[in-house]
Amino acid sequence: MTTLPKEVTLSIDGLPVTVPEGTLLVEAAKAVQTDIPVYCYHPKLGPAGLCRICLVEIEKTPKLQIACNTVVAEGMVVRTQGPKVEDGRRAVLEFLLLNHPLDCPICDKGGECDLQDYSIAYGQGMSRLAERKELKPKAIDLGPTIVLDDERCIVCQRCSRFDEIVTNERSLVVKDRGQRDVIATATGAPYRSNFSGNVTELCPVGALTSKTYRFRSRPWDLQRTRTTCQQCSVGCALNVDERHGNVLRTMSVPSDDAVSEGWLCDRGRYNVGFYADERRITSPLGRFGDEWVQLSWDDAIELWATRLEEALASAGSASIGVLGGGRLLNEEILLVRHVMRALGIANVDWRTGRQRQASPGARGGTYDDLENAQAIVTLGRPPSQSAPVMDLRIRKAVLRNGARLISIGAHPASSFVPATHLARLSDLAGTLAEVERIAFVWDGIDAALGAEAEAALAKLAAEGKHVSVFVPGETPNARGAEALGLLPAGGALDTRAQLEAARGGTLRILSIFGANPVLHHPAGAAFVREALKRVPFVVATDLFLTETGRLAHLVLPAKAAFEKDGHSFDLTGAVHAVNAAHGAPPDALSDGEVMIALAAHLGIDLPSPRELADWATASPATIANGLGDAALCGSLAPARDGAAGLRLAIAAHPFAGGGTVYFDDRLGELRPRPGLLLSPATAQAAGIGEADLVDLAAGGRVLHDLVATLDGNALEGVVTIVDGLPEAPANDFGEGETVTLGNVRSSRALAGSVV
Amino acid sequence: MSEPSTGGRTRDFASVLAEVKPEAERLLAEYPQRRSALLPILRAFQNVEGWLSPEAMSVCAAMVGEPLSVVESTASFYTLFYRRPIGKYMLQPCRNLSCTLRGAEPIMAHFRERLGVEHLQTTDDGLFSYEEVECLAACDRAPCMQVNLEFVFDLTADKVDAILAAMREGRYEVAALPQSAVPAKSWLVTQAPAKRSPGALRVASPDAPGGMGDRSGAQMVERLVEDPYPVVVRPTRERLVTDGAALLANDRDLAAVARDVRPDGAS
Ligand code: SF4
Ligand code: SF4
Ligand code: FES
Ligand code: FES
Repeated sequence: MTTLPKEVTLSIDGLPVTVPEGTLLVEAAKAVQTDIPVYCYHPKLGPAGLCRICLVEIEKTPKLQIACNTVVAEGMVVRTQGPKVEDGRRAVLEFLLLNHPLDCPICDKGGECDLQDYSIAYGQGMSRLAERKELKPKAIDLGPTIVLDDERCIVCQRCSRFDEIVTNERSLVVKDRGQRDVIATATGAPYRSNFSGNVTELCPVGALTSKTYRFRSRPWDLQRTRTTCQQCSVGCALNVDERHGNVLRTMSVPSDDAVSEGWLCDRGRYNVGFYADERRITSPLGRFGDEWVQLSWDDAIELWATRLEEALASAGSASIGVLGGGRLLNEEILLVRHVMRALGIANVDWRTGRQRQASPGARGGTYDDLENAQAIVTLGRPPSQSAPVMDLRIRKAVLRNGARLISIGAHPASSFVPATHLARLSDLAGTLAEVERIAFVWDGIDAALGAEAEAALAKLAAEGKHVSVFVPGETPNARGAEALGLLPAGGALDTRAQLEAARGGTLRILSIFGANPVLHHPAGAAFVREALKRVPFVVATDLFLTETGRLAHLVLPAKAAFEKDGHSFDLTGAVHAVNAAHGAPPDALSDGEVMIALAAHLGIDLPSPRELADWATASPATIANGLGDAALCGSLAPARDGAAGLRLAIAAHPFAGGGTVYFDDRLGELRPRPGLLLSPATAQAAGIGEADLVDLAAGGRVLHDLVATLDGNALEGVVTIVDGLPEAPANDFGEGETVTLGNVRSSRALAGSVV
Repeated sequence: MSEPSTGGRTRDFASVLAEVKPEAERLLAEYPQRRSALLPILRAFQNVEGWLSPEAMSVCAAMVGEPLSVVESTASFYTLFYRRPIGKYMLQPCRNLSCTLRGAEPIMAHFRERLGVEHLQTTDDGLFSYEEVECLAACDRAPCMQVNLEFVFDLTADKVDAILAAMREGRYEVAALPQSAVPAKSWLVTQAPAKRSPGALRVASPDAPGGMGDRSGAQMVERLVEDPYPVVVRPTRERLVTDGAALLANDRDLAAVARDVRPDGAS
């Protein structure tokens, strides 16, 4: 039984307002649509009472009060406007502007600056300061993404409170006092966070700016389109600001409470440079022998259709394979499936990487379930790597609701909130006795482990506990690809079987939709390359000529996420609209458009747009509730080696991958360098020091020159490497494999010889 | 030129730590939350070392379980913590609003002229450290200053001269501050700028191509791959259509045709 909160009635600007007890005046005022100015207050960060701009008049209280930190009371009579209030705000602004540089003409915030806006509304227009203004550092390189201007800062502390309350990373602080106070990090430390971009949006003035957007545009010149981020499977709402055909910045959607709560990770925010990268494929390319020929779309489609017809006639549909789809929108996935089914092709599999399953099954949870869980258990890769903004929810559950965070296996959970670690799933039994609501986050990679987890969760559920399951997708719309059926049904060939068939010479055609199995499939680069080389005709759609595309015979220029309309699922199965925000290169077509062209060529009837829309926006539960078919999942996980030695853990990284990140030069050092992560004790035992260069080997496969990083949060006896780096592809290695480290060279000894 | 942070030390940090540790442990045990012990532990270090060295702040951070950023933030807030070795007399005139309205600026100018040092500097003889500080919460007797741990109110230029003279002659009475390092005049400790991050999010040049306009296949493929594939040619549409069936049947044929129709006629 929840008791209804008591309500309080008060009067704001003469209008009666009834709100729940405990509401802050600044929030109650929203009910009568009166705008109380705020700087330090932010609905997601709560009151701080630092800036005093929110002054209001309350009857029977002699002095003006701050609306952001005053709780409503029964019968309160509040005036948010009027001479007294305005004079108070004028005085506050006079102090805020005392030392302010008034850089407006060259300030990126100009036009959307709260200091400008409230100065117009309440300021006095002239400064009475006769003394010299306080001078402070400008254009400080705060870290890889952010530039700080101390003079513009009004020390509202939104940025440092975000870094404390929301991320718990606590590297941004206020230093010094009085007129000298500045925002800073620990001496000499750069501000590094995967959520750094959010502070540029929280900053009410132009003190914190993104390197990617500095001096690029005025806000009124930007054209804004709301869409859904397609960089990972969390599904954050996103505003794309574009000008003259260039994506200039992306901004969060503050009202997106269901998913992102108004935050974005830096991958989603900053990985937009690839849209205009010179290396994008801008027309269909045919490879004939070792020559590349630029083709027209008509010829390209004709070539593909003809090849399909030939293969169907001579070797049947079993000789045709289809891979990929986890990056496509729901409509595109449906079209791929429709065309392939019409041709009788069943060898279809979206799973071109390590992930075997992207559906949570019958216990799929919502983000609210995650936030309200009393215990959050992560199995496999932690969501901080693969679903960053979802990790903020987890941090919130831990920090504000006191949830317990437990990680299992070779990957410790996020290092920013307290967590416990268990070696095995079986250790979990008994630790959750007092917990009612459990959220379980699995990376979907090791199917056997998933089945084991499912059994454990079923037991917990049988005890009456509320269990919700989350499986972050390895690709943004993995959930959609799976729910909408890009899977090998009825004994058809999955990815590995297709690759094996290719090596055996029985696969005649392979069509790959926005996927790069050479870099990502756990069979290993050499295996996949060899397979692709034996297929007489490989078609690949992509933005760039990837490792896989180079082995294709026909490469088709695809549209990127901001260039097409449709829908996608987030990892909880909620459907989101994706809207074109940006013009595609003239000759690029979305995979959906390509399918329409192919269908037309092959005389295949397409579903009506209405039908397509219905399916694309249905909930995955109504389509098929998860996969639930262990046989279909199979286990690709390499045999676990029980022998003593170092165990390999393969991690994800928000800025890894050979796709869009690799083709965005601006991302610079945010991209992980090929390296390995060890606990200090493990490193010591192996004779490895921080930043040493190391070779990692297992069964004849070697990764050279990995830079060692020692991390107190890493597990003993585990070596962690990052998946998906073109410079050091990890897909030749299996999770849990025993590896050896050798050829250790001190980076210091090398430093002299290198530079 | 600023000096390395260990310069001027007459006592090594290990011995400081050994001396402070028991007191710090006692303080940690006294509070239900470790972080509550931060201020008293910082005090304990300063009482022994005479200033808050970077090492002391790092150790405090580890002791109370807070990031270094938070410890530096706290220490920098208080006028009573010195983040550089200080001289015999720590002179801290207030520069904030009330004091300024009551004439702090000429007082500070007078100090600088008489001492020959700037904000955050120490005189060569190690006698005076000078800091212009934010409000000392003694606005009612502005302009004011703090000398070591004591207030001096209602400052005038004459009063400043009298105080400095008394100090030079050793007859100014104020509790001595602990000292374990020789301060240097040039020891201007300011917020070290965050290290430049090379290559990070380079701002795209304004002339970066936005449109993907027309470009020949050869140019395009050169950009697509680091190791450009051999030659790329553009067969005419007519050629492809007329020879369609044959072309589609055999890679080799198309390659041959493609070579034939190479626009510039080169081979
Ligand atoms: S922060 Fe606002 S008021 Fe200050 S310079 Fe920038 S636009 Fe102008
Ligand atoms: S940098 Fe911006 S957000 Fe941070 S304290 Fe200053 S004004 Fe506020
Ligand atoms: S918004 Fe109320 S004090 Fe800053
Ligand atoms: S302004 Fe000098 S003591 Fe307050």
